[in-house]
Amino acid sequence: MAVHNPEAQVASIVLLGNFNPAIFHPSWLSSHGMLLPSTAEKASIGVISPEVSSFTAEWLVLQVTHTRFQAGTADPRYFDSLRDLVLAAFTLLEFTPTTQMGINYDLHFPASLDFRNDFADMLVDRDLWKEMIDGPLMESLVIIGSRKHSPAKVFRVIVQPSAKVNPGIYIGFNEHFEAAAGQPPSELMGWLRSSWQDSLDHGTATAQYLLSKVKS
Amino acid sequence: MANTDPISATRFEPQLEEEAALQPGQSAQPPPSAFPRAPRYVVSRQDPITDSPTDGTRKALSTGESSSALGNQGKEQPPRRVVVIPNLPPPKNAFISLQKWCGAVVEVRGSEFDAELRDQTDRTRPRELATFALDEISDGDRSLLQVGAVFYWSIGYEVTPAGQRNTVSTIIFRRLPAWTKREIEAVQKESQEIRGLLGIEEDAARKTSRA
Repeated sequence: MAVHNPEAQVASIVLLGNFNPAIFHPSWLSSHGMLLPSTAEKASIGVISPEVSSFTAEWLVLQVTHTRFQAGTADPRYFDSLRDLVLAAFTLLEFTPTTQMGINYDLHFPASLDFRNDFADMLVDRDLWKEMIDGPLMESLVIIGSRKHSPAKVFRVIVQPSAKVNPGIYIGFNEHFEAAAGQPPSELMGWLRSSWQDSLDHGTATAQYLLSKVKS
Repeated sequence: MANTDPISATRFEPQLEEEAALQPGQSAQPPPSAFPRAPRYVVSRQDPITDSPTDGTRKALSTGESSSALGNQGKEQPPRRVVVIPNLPPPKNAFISLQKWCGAVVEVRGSEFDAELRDQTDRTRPRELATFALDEISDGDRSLLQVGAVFYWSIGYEVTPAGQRNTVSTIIFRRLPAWTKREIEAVQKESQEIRGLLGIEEDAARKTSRA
């Protein structure tokens, strides 16, 4: 099976719950050993306030509101560091109520227009639509299901044209976890620890599987 | 329209407009159809770490041309933002990963250290031992080097904005905070319970661990 190399990859972890955005400052992460001091010093701060915190620090992009925490990176070298940072932060913030978690993994593959058309035709039967719609095109496809042996509620796959690689194909994955309401983050963090690598690996394998099915 | 939704009020939006009903905690907006729905958490479309087109100029996968997003025309204007989060700069250099290992330091000596490596790219491969020069470690991570320390080793292409590709090797040490008093107490309590189950006296256990 030919291996398709993604030209861009983004991983992010999203938590829903009740957060204090002002805590999430680069210097706080640095003081607890989660970020290098030099990385924290070079952080580009968008806004840090009681309502919202938003900054980038080299590889890390972090945004927090009262109800949502999101940390992401577009540098695959730091995917595991991203998971460690979230685990560390919510080990310290052990009483923060968190109810849901999303592990997101986005892959952008370069592809010729012909390959992209063949890929779309493989996924969607456009002839079906031609009876009712002139010139039907596939713009976005979303498939939901679950990943075997995963405690997550939903594993979701999204296929679209890539906005980062042109021409290219975007295949995104979202694995959604739910904890009981008002619970501390320990359950979700346990799932993050046990599912992170498997979730990303499954995303990679699914993308490679789909792309390998295109008949050239 | 009054905006009482803290998510959209701070510019944290679902990835696609039609997915607004998918957001948890938005029970006031029931799904428009009976199809199963799942939440996808992404930040504002202007955020560099999100990927999908954000301005209604989404492309169709089956052509190379742009087309307007379905259902965008004639819709209600989005609610006014209360707090505007500035766009964040994208990373300067992209990295294309070729291979990745997770390592654990087994010995540190002089100007080098030994580590046991697990291949993260192909997890069926057996563990390997490798020796690294201390110079491979960035200054900020030197203090973390000790037996048992975990690190991530990546080899890949770093792509500059001009498209130049450089092969790079990067070692990043795992950074976790120190154990909290509560965690230490929990471990001690658990070990006490296990000792009790096994019928091991505390003094005997201490002697065994010293031996």
